[in-house]
Amino acid sequence: MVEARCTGCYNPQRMNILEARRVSKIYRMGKVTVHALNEVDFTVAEGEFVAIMGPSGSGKSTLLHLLGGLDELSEGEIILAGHRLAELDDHRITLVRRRNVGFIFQFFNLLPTLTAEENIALPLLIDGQDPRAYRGRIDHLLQLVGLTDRRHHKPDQLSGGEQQRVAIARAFVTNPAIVLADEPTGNLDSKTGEEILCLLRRSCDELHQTIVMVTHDARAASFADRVVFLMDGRVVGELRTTGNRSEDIRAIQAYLRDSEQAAEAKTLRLS
Amino acid sequence: MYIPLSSFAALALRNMRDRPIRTLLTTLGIVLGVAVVLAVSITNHSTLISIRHIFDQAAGHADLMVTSNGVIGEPFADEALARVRRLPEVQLALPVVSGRVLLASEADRWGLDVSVGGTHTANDLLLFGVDPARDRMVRDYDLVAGSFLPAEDDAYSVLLVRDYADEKKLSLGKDITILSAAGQEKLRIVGLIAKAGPGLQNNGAVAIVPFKTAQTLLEIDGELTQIDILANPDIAVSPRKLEALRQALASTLGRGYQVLYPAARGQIVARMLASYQTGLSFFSAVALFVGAFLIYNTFTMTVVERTRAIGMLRLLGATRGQITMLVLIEAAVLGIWGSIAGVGFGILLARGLSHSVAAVTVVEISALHIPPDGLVWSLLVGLGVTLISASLPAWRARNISPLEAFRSYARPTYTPLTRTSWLWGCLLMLVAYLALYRIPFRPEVQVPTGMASVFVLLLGATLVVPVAIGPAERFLCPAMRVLYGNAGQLGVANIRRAWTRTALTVGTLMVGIAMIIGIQTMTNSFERDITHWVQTAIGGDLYVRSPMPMREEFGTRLLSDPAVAEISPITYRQVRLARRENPSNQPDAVLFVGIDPQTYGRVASFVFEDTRYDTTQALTELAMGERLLISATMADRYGLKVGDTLALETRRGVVPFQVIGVVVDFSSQGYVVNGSRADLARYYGENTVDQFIVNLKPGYDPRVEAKRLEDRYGRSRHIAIETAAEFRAKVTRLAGQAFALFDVLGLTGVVIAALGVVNTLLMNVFERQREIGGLRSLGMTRGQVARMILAESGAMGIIGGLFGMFFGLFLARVFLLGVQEIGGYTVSYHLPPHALLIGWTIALVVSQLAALYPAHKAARVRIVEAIQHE
Ligand SMILES: Nc1ncnc2c1ncn2[C@@H]1O[C@H](COP(=O)(O)OP(=O)(O)O)[C@@H](O)[C@H]1O
Ligand SMILES: [Mg+2]
Repeated sequence: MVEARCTGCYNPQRMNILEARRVSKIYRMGKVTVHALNEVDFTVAEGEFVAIMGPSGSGKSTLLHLLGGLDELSEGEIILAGHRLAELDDHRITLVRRRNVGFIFQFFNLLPTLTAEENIALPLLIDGQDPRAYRGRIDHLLQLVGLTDRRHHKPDQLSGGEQQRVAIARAFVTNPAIVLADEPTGNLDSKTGEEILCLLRRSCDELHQTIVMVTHDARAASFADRVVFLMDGRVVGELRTTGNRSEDIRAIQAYLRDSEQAAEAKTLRLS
Repeated sequence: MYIPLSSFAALALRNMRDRPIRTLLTTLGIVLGVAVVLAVSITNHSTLISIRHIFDQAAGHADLMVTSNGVIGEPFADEALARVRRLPEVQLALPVVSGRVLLASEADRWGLDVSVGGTHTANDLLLFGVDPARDRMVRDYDLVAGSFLPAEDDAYSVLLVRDYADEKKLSLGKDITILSAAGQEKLRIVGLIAKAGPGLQNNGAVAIVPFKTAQTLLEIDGELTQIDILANPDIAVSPRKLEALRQALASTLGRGYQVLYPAARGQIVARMLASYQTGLSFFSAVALFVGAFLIYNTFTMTVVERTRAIGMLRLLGATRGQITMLVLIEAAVLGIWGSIAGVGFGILLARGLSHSVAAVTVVEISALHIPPDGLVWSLLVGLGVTLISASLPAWRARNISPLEAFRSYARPTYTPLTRTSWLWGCLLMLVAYLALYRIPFRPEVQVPTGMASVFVLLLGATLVVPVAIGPAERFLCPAMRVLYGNAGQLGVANIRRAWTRTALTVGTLMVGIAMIIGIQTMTNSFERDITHWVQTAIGGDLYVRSPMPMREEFGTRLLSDPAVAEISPITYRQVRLARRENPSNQPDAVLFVGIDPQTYGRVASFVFEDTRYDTTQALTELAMGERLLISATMADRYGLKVGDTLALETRRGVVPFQVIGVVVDFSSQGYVVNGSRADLARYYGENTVDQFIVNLKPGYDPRVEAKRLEDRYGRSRHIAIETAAEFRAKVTRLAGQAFALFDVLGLTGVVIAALGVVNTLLMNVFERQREIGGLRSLGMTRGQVARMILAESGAMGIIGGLFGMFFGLFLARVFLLGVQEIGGYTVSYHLPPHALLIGWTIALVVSQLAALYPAHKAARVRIVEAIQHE
């Protein structure tokens, strides 16, 4: 396992906002069972920005879904902002998610009939709040994502990057305990993607927003404080970034190469 | 319209605003459904009120009236008047003598009363004899010209309704010649009244004369048909005292009389229309069902389309309850707006409908009466149906997983119709089939069961539609290529892609078409039965009739004519059933058709419900006397079967007649019995002839001979001769009029289905903007894009039409069950091939018309925008 290098942002004394213990997820399709996740332990501390990396099909999205309470666990336990998800019914989980989790997607998932501002206010609306009471926060978020002059635009009048920035503001609007992002730059060009990642980094630094981001891109992962590697549904390693981006990228890529070789060797030995 | 997004519920309104066309189309579906239901309810209500109004007006201020027990209008001895007047509570008792006569100039238009579901033909004149000195104390005569009747009881003076006089070109001071039992008499027109009060009777065809004159003309000297009573003022204002007086009068007069409140007479007439009105309500309910289906489809499609968005809302923390609310709020808003608009439109529609109903039922509808509870009901029904129809889609929406939000593109994985749902569909259809054909339900629940079966059947059918889409596509592809070019082929291929949506649309279309075919089949079967009845039961080539009684000898004269081969006399008489025969609510007077067993078989025959009987055998039995053939309606309504006895009140007291057969008979609302003329003579002293049925020798043209015979005897004997062909045409026309309304309701169903097609295609176009833009960028012309959409719709039309044809046959079966309930007779199921063709053609035409706008929209998709679209 790669040695951890501590960065300034992470403070191990802070409490854990999210804990996953020995989490397994098994998909059954007829006779075939897929172990999408296998006894995964995963913890996120308050104010931490964690990236989950792994090849396609390694269970990244599955893990993210479980962390957000979107799907049922097969085994194990997830504690999200003090709530044991396994003990809650769908309705309770929905309420926990509503107040504690923000989501960002690869496909921005804005409601086409609402303006940028209204899309941002949507979670408040769902929570039964009157968005007018949150003018200040929305204005601030619009400013944060740099869309103050686009607030009345509909999604189809915005570029992909702008749409994703709306989605980020939407994820932040309820002051969630944690933001879960699934390949937020997967559908953007590298320059726009970089802007989005900077935004996430900044929100972590300035707002102390806890973020878990799934990605298969080493550049994207380098923005995080910590990178967790998944392979075939298992956590196979972890890496702390230094803050020196190009160095971090190199370290992550090296790690990926190593593990790929290890996996190849393993398959060779098996055959 | 700006909808401030201040609450979660406002999202629903946004959805509606941002899909204005779909919102409009769905609302229109609700509007039409509610409008039809309300219009029928208003029309029925107004008809009833009009009838009551006419009778109320004719009764004037009378508090009570005395009529003969049984057949209203049957004369009774005038000594009853003296007995009534002896009661101290009676302030005034007035004699009324009324009966049917004819204007001599109209004798040739006189005809047999034929009824189809509560309708009748009439051009007779109501002779209304009153006490000229005192009648105005009870009734208000709105004299518009001339003066009231002179004071003598027996003056040959008459008051006519101005409208009637104008129509018949009669004027004040002139004489009219009327035909009655007593022969031909002249009356002087001394005054004209407005069509109000007593002038409303018989739709204005009323001649008001002194009652003695009426007695003479009707040959009922010393008899009255009605006594109108004004009670003392203190009694008249107290319902309790009035009821006491009514009972006192009833016991004073004894058996043979009935003492009624004036309104009760209207109710008796109104009852005759009940069946027709039930029919109208039935079909309006079906139209509403099609509307509900459209709503269900639209909401299902909407939910499918928004699967990803709904998943996203769930992800953002919307609870299942909130999602349900979102769909239901949308439904409620549509339901409320649709129902309100439906009420407005329904009132307009009721105007048109009431005109038609008035024409068919010969009741002039003076004003539209909107039942207040009907209004409330329509609103509730509209809202309720919308909410119920949307509740299943709402249920599906609430079960959408938040994980749907992660899907890259709107690719709904869930479908309300799965690949195996056709099994459920078959099961539902089997249940419906069993309920319709195999399980004998009690007659009272047959119509509701039939309705429920139809609902289940159509639901089942919709579930089966998807399996047909695949094969249909392969089959239709070549055809569509021929019609629409290569673009057509692409279009047909599309029906498989959004197959859930296609299936639901085809389902809606199917219901509309099935309704048309069902109604057509029912109408056709019914008309065929009537024609068959006219041809066999009435038979003959010519009908010789006269408003004045004819003698049998005249038949002999006719028979000696070189053109005449056979002749048979018929006598009609209203007879009264003995008290015990009558279950509540049924008329206790029926038409006794007296035939001559010796000759009847040569000119006509009976149409038996049970084919084992034959006319010859029946005639032999009728000749033995005290035997009857009853109509199917009678058998149904009075619970009679072959071998039972039916007791009739006769001049010789109550006589039991044996029922020897059940026949189909459409005359006199079906309240008909056939017996021998000899029985009529023996028990009722009736020797005259009302009609001769004449068969001509081969080679003689009935039209020519009718004219010749009428010229020869018409003037001297006041006979009118009608050819069988004319009579049949009249009956068919009447039936056509009565059924035209049902066609209107059927068409409403198709229009609603068309809205569904527009909805689906627009949704398809909207969803495939990117793809269409892509095709355009590859060089597809606007024309080709439009043809692609037309082909897609055409394919849905063809499949919907085919399914509609198939299920229309089932639907017809249910409708016929309804007719049976309504008319009391079994209509033989007959499938008219042209109805199938009409239904299918309508499906095709509708599919193409409905596709025009979506095709236009698709052709205008801008390439750049479409490619940029998310
Ligand atoms: N709904 C599902 N049903 C069955 N198997 C699934 C389902 N979702 C994911 N999987 C399987 O689980 C494994 C992990 O998937 P996923 O978490 O989506 O991977 P990643 O996001 O890392 O690409 C894959 O092998 C995938 O095929
Ligand atoms: Mg993934």
